[in-house]
Amino acid sequence: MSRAPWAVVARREYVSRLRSASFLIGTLVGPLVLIVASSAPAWLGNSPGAVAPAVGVIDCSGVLDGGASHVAVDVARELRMVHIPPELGRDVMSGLVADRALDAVVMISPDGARAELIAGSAVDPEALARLRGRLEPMLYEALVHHRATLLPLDEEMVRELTAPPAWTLTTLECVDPARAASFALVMGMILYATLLTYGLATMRAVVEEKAGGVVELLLSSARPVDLLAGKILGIASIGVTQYLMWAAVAAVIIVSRGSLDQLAVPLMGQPAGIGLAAACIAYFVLGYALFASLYAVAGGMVSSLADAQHVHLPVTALLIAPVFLVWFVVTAPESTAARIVSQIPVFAPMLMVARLAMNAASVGEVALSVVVLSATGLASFHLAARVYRAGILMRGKPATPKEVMRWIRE
Amino acid sequence: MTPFAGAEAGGLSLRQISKRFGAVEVVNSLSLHVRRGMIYGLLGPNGAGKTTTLRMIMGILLPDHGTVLRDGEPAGPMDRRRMGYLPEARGLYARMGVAEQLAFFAALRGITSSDVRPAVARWLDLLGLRGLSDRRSDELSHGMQQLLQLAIALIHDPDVVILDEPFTGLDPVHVARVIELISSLKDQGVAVLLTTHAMEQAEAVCDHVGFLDHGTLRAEGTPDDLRSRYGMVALRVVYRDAVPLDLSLPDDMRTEVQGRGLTVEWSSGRPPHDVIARLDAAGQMTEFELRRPGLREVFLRVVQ
Repeated sequence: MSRAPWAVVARREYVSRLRSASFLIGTLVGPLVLIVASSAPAWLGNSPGAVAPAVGVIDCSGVLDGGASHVAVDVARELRMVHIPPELGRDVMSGLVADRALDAVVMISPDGARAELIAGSAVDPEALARLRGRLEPMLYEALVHHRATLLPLDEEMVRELTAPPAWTLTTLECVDPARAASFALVMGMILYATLLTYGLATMRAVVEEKAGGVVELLLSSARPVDLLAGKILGIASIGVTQYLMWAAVAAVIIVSRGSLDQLAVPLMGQPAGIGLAAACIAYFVLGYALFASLYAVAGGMVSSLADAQHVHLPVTALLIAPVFLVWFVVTAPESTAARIVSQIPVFAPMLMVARLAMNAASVGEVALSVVVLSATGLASFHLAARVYRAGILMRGKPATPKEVMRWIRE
Repeated sequence: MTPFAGAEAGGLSLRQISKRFGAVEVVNSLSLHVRRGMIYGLLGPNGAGKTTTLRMIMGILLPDHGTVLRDGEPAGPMDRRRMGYLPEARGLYARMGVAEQLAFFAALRGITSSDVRPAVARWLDLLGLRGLSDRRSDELSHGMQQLLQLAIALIHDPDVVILDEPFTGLDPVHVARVIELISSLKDQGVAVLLTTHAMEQAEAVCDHVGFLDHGTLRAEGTPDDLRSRYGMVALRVVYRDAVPLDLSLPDDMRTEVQGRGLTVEWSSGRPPHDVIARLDAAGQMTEFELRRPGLREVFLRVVQ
């Protein structure tokens, strides 16, 4: 049984690209670049050369003797503890903080009943809160011990009287907004990079066939609409193959996350799962169908790759726009504005995937965007097929918008 | 006889097709018929509308008016897929291997998956390309590339073949090979329509010729028919003494005297033996040479 022309063309596009060195390089290097780019800030912050904030400790009570070292170890990643002689006094210490010689100072009164934390504005407030949370129980225990020695009470009795209630700590998985935003950005950028790569590949394929003269042979064997459909499907299949390979690698990384935690966190730090991967592929396919059609229009308007560089800019601008919008969307993924812009077909692939990565898009929103994006992609394909057919034998200067409009109407 | 009278016998017919680009009428109500087993040469100067005509036949361009018929029925996409086509703009996938390229176009032309491999092997053998099957097409010589393109046009055993300038850029060895290949199609009952500037090759291979000029078919027929209608026969004789003054030739004959030599030209409709008898009666001839008109001369007379 003979195969349909679009299937033959799709197969050729798929096989020839699968065997190309650029596919292998793109598949291997693409995620590495993204992982490195997204990990770099965290890595730089945690690198040995990075200086943690310095916290001076003046312990007039001596209650921290033997305890402060544990605190220092516990918070060592975030703060450097510096023991300071009590003689220096509060004013001197405040001056050191104001001059940024120290980032913060903890002062404990001689009876251990009062503690003061003086911090510079540059220190992370959360880190200081954690430090306070660690110091408070230690000070409390030291104070109980100190007061027991002053009263005719057995220390055990004091301990029973002041015993705190037993607490049970249960930790629940929840979305870390910063990490979710980072993950959403990475997913959005992957969509952008692949749509741009494969969209441009479609345009190049159209132009190269025109410039190389093989297109007339193709047109004698199949209808233009079949040729264009086969080309778009074949290149989309290569993109899906690349996604599946990346998903497989990501799955392996997640499984072995214990040893590869640092690598896995930036990309798969969220409980993303198969649903997000499927959505990512679906939005790639729909977004690719839309942009490949638009790039095919650009390719149909010119007869050389040099001319194509100028003609494709409006299409690429539509693809770049959501790169700027995605920064806004990840900061307020459930805002009305984010909901609206993520429904615009040319923005939907990147922005909706970013919102999905943050668990901020409802099923209804996703369904609506899929319908709108599919309809727009279909309309763009029909438009592209008309331009492709009319412009495919054109030689010389690029077609003007007026000519393209005439081709579409004819 | 109308151009469509033979449509029932099968083959390719054009029924008054026209094409206009802007203000220029490139093809003007063109009708012709190429029956099975016929090699039809469409000859014409540059810009005559030959390539546009072939593109309309193949559905690459849509005619403004008129119809393309295959076996008497309007040709649709499936009919065209079964035709063979060698376009004027030569093109192959540069980085694709010879066999792979043949297989791709075979599948695109509708050959079933199981038949693709034998078809590719057959054409590789037929064109002597077996040793080059894995060679990229941009590594082939120009002649080899053209043979490969011809194989692509014919790999699916079409019953209608359209060849646009099949001899362009070929050396004499490859020309002979292409002529042999095209001639074999006639024996297989294929309807072949070709365009060419190469009159010698057209004369060697075509059994029907049409002259296209400014989109209009000026004349068509067998080469002999066209010669007799439009060609001039030239007879050169040498007399032993001076050329006789009274030759008693009709007024429509052109004469030119050079020493003892005389050249007489007349329309090829008149049989030469009558002229030879008159010239012989006028004086004693020592030698004579009769030259029949070639297609080039006929072509020039028609288009001028």
